[in-house]
Amino acid sequence: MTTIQAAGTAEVLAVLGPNDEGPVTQTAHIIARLAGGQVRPLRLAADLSPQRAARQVIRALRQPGTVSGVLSGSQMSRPLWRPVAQRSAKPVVLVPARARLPRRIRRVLLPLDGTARSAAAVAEAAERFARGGAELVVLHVFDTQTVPKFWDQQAHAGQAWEQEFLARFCALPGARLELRSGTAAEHVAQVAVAEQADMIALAWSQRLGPGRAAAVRRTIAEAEVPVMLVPMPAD
Amino acid sequence: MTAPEAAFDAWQGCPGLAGMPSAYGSPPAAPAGSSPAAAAAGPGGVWTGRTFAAVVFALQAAAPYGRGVAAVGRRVAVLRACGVDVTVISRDGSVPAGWPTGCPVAPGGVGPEVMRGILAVLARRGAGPGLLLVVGGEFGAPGGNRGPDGVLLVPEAARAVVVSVGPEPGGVPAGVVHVGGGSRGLLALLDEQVRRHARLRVPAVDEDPEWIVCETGTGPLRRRVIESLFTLGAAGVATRGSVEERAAGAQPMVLAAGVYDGTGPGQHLLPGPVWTALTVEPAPAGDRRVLDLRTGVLERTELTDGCCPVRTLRLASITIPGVVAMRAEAPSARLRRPGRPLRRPAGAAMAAGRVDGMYWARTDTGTRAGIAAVAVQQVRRDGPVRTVQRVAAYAGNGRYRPGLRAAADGLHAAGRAGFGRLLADHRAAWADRWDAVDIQVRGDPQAQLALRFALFQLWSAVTDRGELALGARGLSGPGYSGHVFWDADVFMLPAVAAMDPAAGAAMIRYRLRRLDAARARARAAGLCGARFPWESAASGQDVTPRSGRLAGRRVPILTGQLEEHITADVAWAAAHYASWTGLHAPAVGPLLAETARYWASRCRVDAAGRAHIDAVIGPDEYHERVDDNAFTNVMARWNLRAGADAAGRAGIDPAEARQWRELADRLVDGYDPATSRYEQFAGYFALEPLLITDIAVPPVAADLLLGRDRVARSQVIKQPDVLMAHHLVPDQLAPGSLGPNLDYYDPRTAHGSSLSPAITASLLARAGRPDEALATLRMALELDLDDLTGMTGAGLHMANLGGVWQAVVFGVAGVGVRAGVLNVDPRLPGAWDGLQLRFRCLGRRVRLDITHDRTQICADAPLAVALAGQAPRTVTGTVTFRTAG
Repeated sequence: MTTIQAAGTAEVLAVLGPNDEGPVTQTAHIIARLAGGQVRPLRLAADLSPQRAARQVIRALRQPGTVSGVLSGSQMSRPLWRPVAQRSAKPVVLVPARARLPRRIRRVLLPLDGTARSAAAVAEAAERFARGGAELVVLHVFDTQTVPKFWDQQAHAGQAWEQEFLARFCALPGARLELRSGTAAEHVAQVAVAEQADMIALAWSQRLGPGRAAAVRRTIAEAEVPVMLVPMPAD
Repeated sequence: MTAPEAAFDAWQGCPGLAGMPSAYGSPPAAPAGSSPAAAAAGPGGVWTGRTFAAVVFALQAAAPYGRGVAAVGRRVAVLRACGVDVTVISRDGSVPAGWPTGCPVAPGGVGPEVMRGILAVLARRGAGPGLLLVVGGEFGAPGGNRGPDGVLLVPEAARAVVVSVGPEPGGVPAGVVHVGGGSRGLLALLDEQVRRHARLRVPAVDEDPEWIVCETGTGPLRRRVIESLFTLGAAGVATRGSVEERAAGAQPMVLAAGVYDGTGPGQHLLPGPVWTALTVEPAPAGDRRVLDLRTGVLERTELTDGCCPVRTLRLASITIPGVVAMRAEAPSARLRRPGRPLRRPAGAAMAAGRVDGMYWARTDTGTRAGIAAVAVQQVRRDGPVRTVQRVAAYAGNGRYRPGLRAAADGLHAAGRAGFGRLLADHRAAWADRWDAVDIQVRGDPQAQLALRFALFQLWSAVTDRGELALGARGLSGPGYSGHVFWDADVFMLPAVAAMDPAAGAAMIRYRLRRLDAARARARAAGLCGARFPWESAASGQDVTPRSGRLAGRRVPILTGQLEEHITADVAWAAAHYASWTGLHAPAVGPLLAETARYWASRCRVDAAGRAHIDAVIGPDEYHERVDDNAFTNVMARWNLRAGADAAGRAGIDPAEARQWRELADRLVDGYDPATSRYEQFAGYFALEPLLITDIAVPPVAADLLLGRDRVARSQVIKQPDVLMAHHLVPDQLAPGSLGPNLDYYDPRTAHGSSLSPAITASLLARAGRPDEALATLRMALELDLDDLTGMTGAGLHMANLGGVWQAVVFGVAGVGVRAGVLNVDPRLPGAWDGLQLRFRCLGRRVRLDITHDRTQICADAPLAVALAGQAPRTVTGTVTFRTAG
């Protein structure tokens, strides 16, 4: 569950390895500004095993006042970020190796699957982004499970669907909805580019087993901007 | 001060009120420091905690030996003035001395027929058993037997509150509350009712499961859906069922038919002043809301363990056009004294003020259209409870800014009646409606309730005054901007014509008054006659959006340009109305002629003399710019023939009429006699032979799933297209072709349109597949109630509501009118034990009672009827036909 602390006490953990200081630190500062807090660097020793490093990061994330952690999302760092993301109760932001890092977050892509659970998971983060002046672009992908049963007329149905979807799942001023068809995995990173989003915030179940979290995997692999993974509470 | 208030204040000193046990529920909390006796008595004595619509009591038992008769009579007179139905039974038939004149006393009988008779009379006035208080004195007898008043305890009155004020030495039967006290007890019960009226308490609702749609504890996901479902409307003005207090995500709205704002495709229904807002703090954490279809009221009760839940009840009067009324009650600490009763709606400017003791408000478009409202409100206290009564009246006009006078007249009429009489008359009028029009399904209460919901919401959206622009979502929400599609002409009009012919006429007038705009459209395209717009609003010009967004891309919307079958649909509606009602308005002749003339100019005749209509969109919108769409061509053919038939009435040259008939005979329709199939459009059979189950379980928006291009290359279709012609104009098609086309096209139908399931159900029934029809009908019945589209929050799918009526009446019952004869050809699903239909047709009130082995037809005037293809016969009164088992 996300815990956002009062302004001035929030900390964003910047997890630093030997090779990825710049982007991780920069991203951490951007998020800390949004949270009205500060960055707490955690420099991992080079000789730490990934398991021990992960435990260290998770311990640090558990500290009161820490609102999220920022790690490198590169392929090389996968042995670290995977266990951290799977076990952290707080949002974890992964910075791609070739990330395009803005000075501030002007636009956030918020993929939502149309369930109350995922919307609730990212609600606090979304509100924080909105309060920080970021524009929210909600992405919903029609797949075989989520495609509407009925779609009477393109313009009117699209408008009605958008209004209802946002009212139910992201009723924040200025939020708008982008609809796609296919699978979330194929669209998230693409739409982030098309919409010039500065960050992607994804609710997820924290399960990376076979056949699971396809959208998360592909987004992390393809995104050009930081990806915030927000844990969903268990059913 | 009102009469009830004056009466109650005068009677505050009635003896014997203290110490009476409660007849119902728990007493409200007594003021601090009050005596236990006063606490038990509550404010005013014995209480039931409910405001009843009717009271029945046995006079001799309640006021033996004439004691208190005059006092009882005075209270009866006050309650009757408040609209309460009071039936006093004199067991021995005598009228006691001192009984006030003007208060009738009914003679009692010796059996339960007395109560059944009373219940029947009350039912005709819209007062169901749950609104009834029964008071007697001898319900029990020694040995556990029933006393003389036990004859009042009939099963049909199970929901009534029954109280004994007699000594009852042998105890009372189950279900009877014993308070004793004799005449004092009766006086206390009547005093409570007088007090509740005086203090503006919220009336009760009869929770008959056959008539109520309930929702408990609405969360944010369903809030707007409920607002649409609980819309109340009358006389062309409707109020969404939003809660009274501010609530996150709520969309309170008042809309008026035909009152648009904006220009071009951006036209949308103008919101009117909102009359339902109250401040309740804290807001109810949970509530139960009941839409009573039988009496047309929406009731809300807070779910709480406290003694004084927030309660509200509202109605849109069907006896005084434009009047709406509400009562609300809550602990005074929570229900703030209300401010202005008329609030500005979201998205509109509003002028407001006070005049002549009324609040007024108006939203308008600056010049052309507007909605005016006036309102009054009263606030009272009843112990710890604050009550608010608010009555408003609306007047909308689509052509000019409305003045306040029309609304004020309605408000004054409501004021003269008083809330109680307004509600009583409203209930009675709804009872009249349901007596003339209803659908009862024996063996399927869920379907019955959903069908009644459809009828209720169709009634709530219509008016018989002026013209009626009935948009795709009616007046239940902002969806589809109030634009009028073929939904109105083909899906809603048949039901409305059978429910309220005058409202059906108003729908036809909407189109007739836009015939000039349709002529102009045809001329602009270099064609003749009249061409109606795909989407219509204020002026009759096309207001179809030109583009939409799909998959992140702007996509052109071509329906406004190419979906031309609307012209024939409008003509069909006018002809259907005339055939169904037997009313032939002179203006319809020119409509049929001009639309026929349009098709005559629209057709292309090839070298072989065959006529074609190129580049259109049929009902199946997955395939655009097709040639010889079967539905369009068959409807055009029908239109040409109908226009020729109307030529004499329309002053058309007979030679031109002959040309139309010849052209109709030449129009290709894609029929292949070898297969009995109609090709949906030229080249359809060559498309990829995809069945819908190859890609998903229908219903499914296949264009969203597969993409428009992919779907367009396949045989998957959105909704009945060829089959729609079978539904509307079966006589224009080859006999026996319904089955083969159903077998071919239904597996290819995605049902991705809300218009689809109901019509498919109707066709399945006609094809002799009633059980399949029922399965498909259920989808249509659940469409809004279960929010299957995900968009009911923006408004009800009115075409579907009309469609389910058609599925049952045209489909299952096989009802149709041809040449002044009512045809009936039932196909009852196995799961239904029986079906009773009530509707208006050919100037008659008709009732059909259908079982698996007989059909009973009843008409209130001689009516030519043909059953199952037999020769017509005249039915006078009730006739029963045996049908094959």
